[in-house]
Amino acid sequence: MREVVFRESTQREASKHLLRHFRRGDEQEDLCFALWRPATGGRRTTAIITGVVLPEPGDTDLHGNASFQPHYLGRAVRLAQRQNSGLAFLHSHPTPGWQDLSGPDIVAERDIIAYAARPTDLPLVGLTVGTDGYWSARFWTWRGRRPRRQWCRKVRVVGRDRYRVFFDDDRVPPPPRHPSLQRTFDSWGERNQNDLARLRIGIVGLGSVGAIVAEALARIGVSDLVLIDPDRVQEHNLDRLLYATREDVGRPKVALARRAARRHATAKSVRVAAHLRPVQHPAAYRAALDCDFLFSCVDRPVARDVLNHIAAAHLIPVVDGGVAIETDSRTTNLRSAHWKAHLVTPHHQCLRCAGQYDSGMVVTELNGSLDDPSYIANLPPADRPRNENVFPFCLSVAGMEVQAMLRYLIADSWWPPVTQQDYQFVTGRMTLTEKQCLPHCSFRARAGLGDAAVPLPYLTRS
Amino acid sequence: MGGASRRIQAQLLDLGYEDARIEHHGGNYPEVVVFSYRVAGGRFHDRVFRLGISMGDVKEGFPEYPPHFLHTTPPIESPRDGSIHSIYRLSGRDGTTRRWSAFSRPPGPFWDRLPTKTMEAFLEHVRRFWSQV
Repeated sequence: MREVVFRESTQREASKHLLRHFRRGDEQEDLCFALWRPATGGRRTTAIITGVVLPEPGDTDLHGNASFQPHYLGRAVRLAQRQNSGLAFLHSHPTPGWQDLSGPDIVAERDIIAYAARPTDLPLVGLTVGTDGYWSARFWTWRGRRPRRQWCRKVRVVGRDRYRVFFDDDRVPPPPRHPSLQRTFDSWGERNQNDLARLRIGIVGLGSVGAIVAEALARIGVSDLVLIDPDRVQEHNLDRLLYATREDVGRPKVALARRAARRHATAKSVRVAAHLRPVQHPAAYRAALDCDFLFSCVDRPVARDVLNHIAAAHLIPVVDGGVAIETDSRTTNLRSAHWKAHLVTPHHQCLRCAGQYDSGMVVTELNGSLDDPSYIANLPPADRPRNENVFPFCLSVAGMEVQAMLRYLIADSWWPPVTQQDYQFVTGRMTLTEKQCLPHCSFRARAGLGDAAVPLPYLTRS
Repeated sequence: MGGASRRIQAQLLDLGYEDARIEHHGGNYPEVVVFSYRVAGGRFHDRVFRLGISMGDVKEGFPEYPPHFLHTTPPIESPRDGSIHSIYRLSGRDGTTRRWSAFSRPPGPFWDRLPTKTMEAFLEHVRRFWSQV
């Protein structure tokens, strides 16, 4: 399976160039080249478009259709080679929606550009944008001596305020509208529901918050879920874990969540993949890379570090959240509680800069110390991991996380951005913030690099 | 041998810790970079220890990920803050046996806020450790 993803700024630059004539009312197509890097999951290879190579005067001929001079193609290929990138060819069509290829388009991509792009050792990626800004894409991979076309199922654009996903409705048909989703369709409209229903959404951590997130996604018609958690139900989980009963103690949390998601799914058919492994395990990591959206419902630093890396390097948006409770050490009464949810993409503050974990704690967990009772007992009280939590607070943070995803997917252009929310239980006050990463944050440096990003040093050990 | 220990050793040598070398302490501490360190401040002020710095089982990742353990010989038996990880014995090549203490002391968010992550910056964390232990 092959797909394409843009950062919003790159997509905007390409669209601005390709659609400039249509926006002036001229029936004039246009073209340009771009560079891409691969991001490889278990089942999906994604081309991350990293930059646009705009034409210079004399590089293109515009005559209703558009053509390019060989020296422009040569310049783009050399640039791709120098940057260890693949070559992408982008052009516009005078109609809206997902675009097919005309005969001349096929000749240009298959018989000219794909051959020229061969020195990059990566497939040619072809993209077309319609007059409504809708993107379609295909890969030209080599089988023997001929390039072979493989259509993408969707193109994603990761923005600051909005996540846009362009589906090929023929290959990924919108789900049929049926009565069990009537109220959902009525609430945010058919287009939003069709986008939402066709996403592959991963939940990392199927504990008290993740189980509720899974339930919410199943209820709103999501048809493709990936569940990742290495843990089994323990007795002390029963006061917070949705659907867990005494009979489930010892069973994997992912199995429980999968069973519930299948039973309660409103989608006509639902696929739920369960991985009884930590997300840093190579198989679970690859499964996460196959997702279009990820929920971070974990409380461990290593898992958060992995998800932070995926959000930055692989352009897969992550929503993270958590609950913090403080009790009076003398009376054990609740003194304060707050929970928060935040969106993580290259446009937003990363989890580490947001203080959700630090890299020292990652090393501490990798060394096994966080699972060592004697180590924890020796820590100063303020540094000990805290596990206080109650089901109603989990409901709130899970709801906040799902709403953060929904807002990002269905936001209209006039909606103000809401990326970080913090709710104080005692005062009833919700705080909205939009902080950015530190200037030297290493996750900013790996944004959109895909497989070429500096690897997580512990992934191969698992 | 992991790249992390080699990089830590190289930076310590550059900082003038000329006796910095990589030792194998076994167990949770497969590689420890050990050097002579004169304490400045705190209750051990002006004493010279053999100080060890290690990543534990994590062999790569420095400087993005900081060292985890601080080791000292002679050991500190009664630290004030309770962050001791273990006390162990190690036989040297010369046949002598030394007792070591190991402390779980990752530097916390301080490390992630550094514009440049170096052993020079980590030694500031070490200095604070000695003022508290």
